[in-house]
Order: sequence, then C-alpha cells, then structure tokens
Amino acid sequence: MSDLQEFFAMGGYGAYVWSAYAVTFVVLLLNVLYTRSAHKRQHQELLRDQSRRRQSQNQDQNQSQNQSVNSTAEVAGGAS
Amino acid sequence: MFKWIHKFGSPPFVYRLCRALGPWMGWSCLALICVGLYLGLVQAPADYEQGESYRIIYIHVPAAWMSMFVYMVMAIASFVFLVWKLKLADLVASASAPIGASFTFIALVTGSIWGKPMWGTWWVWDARLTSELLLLFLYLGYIALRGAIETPTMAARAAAILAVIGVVNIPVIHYSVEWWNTLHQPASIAKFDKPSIHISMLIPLLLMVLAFQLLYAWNLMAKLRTGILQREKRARWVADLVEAGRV
Repeated sequence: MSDLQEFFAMGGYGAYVWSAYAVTFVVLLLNVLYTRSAHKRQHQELLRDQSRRRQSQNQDQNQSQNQSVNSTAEVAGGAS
Repeated sequence: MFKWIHKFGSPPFVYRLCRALGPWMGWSCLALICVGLYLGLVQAPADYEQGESYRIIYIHVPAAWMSMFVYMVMAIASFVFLVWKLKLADLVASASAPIGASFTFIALVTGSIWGKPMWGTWWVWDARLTSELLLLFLYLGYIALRGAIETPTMAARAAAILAVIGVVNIPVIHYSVEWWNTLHQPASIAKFDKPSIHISMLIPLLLMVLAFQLLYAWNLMAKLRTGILQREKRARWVADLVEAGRV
C-alpha cells in the first residue's frame, strides 16, 4: 500500500475521519459564502438607492431649468 | 480613554476597523488551518489507544470550544445591549448566532462520528452530549425568536433576554464531565500544569483553535459591516462610501 493510500485509509477509520472533516469544512464554507452574499445584496441595494437619488436629483434640476426657460419666455413675451 | 471607548460606539469607525482587519483575519485563518491540518493529520503520531480515529480531535475540540466561546460573546453583547441600549452590541450578538450554531452543530456531528467507532454508538443521552445539544437549541431558538417578532426592537430585546438566561448552560457543559459520570472523556488540555496530551498533538490542536477563533472574528467583522450598512443606509457617510466605491 502506498503512503498516500495509507494516509487516506487512516488505519481503517478513514470513513469516520474524512466524513467528520468534510462536514466541518462544508458547514464553515457555507457560513463564509452566506456572509459574502448577504454583503453583496446589501451593497447592491445601496447602489440602487444611489442611482434612484441621482435620477430624482436630475429630474429636479431639469424641472427647475424648464421653469426658468418658461419664465424667461414669459418675460420676453410680456416685453414684446 | 473615554474618547477611545466612545469610538467603538461609532458606526463609521467600527465599519472602517472591520474593513481594515477582515482580510488579515481571513488569510491568517486559512494559513493556520493549512499548517494545523498538516501537523495534525500528517505529522502527529497515532494515539496508542484510539489509533488514527483520534484525529477527529483537531476539529471536534476547537468546534466545541468555539460553540461555548461564541455563546459567551453573544450573551455578554446581549447584556450590554439590554443595559446600555448599544445597537452595535445587538449587531454583535445577532451576527454571532449563526456561526455559533454552526460550531455547535460541528461539535455534535464530529463527536457522534468519533463516538461510533470508539464507544460503539452514535449518541448517548449523557450530560455532556445533552447539554451541548441544548446549546444548539438555544442558538436556534435565538435565531427563530428574532425572525418571529416583527418589530425589530422588540425582537432584539426578546432574543437578548433569551441569550442572557441561556448562559447558565455554559458551566453545565464545561463541568458536565466532572459533575456526572459520563461516557465522554475528560478534558485533554484544560490542565495546563500537566496536559495529558503529547506536545506533537497539542501544537496542531492549539493552531486549529486559533484558526477557528480567527474564522469567527473574520465572519463577525464581515457581518458587522453588512449590518452597519443596513442600519445606516440613509447616513451621509454611507452615501459617500458608495460614491467612492469603498463599500
């Protein structure tokens, strides 16, 4: 039996030892991945909020620009 | 001094601290796991009584220790939240619950897998195993309680009270092998004057304990960041962070 085979056999306890290690690292990895995806979701929500804020700011600016254009037109119309 | 303590109540400061320390925790945790597993699984000799099966100790004992350590952090943070109404303390407690439950689950499962070849049974209702199972239910109860109550402040308070009451279970777990006659073997390394474990087995075990501690710290910091962003999403400094792409 090669060294590697011997290592994986764990003196006949291979199934026990390796399944214990597998469960452990799968559970820990799930924790890491879940935490990461929760952070990404939160980040995306913040990005959405930001773009919404920008849009409403642009609309406000457009509206006030339109209003000022209208008012100058009115002033010009009144003068003529 | 007070100024220094006050900083830890300031969300932007804690956020930046977690962001700065997080990657270090993660990478050193990974390195320690590699070294610890190499020393534990390859270098350390087999146990004269239990043969190779004892190697489950390198995940079982660190997980069991962490299951209690994380609960203590959760209970203390909950106490701080109840007394001083510190919102960050509630975040620490709620962020600790899932990883604490995971460590408890790992301790129970790996113990069960170890018990089968050594004791001839997957499970016995003895003091150590039963109190550890109760710990898992405390964690799950904490998580369920938070999810069940709709008002966030009410949920936080109720869960914090549960966490503080549940702390009586911790000494029961710790002393169960001394108070009752159990199948579970007594502690191998609690006796620091003369540990009943050889140095070549002790070092990988301590490395794995440290690795699990770092994993918890890393996970906690990442969750604190997410929680702070969620609570402070309307704050100016969060908008600045998003703007700068430094979330």
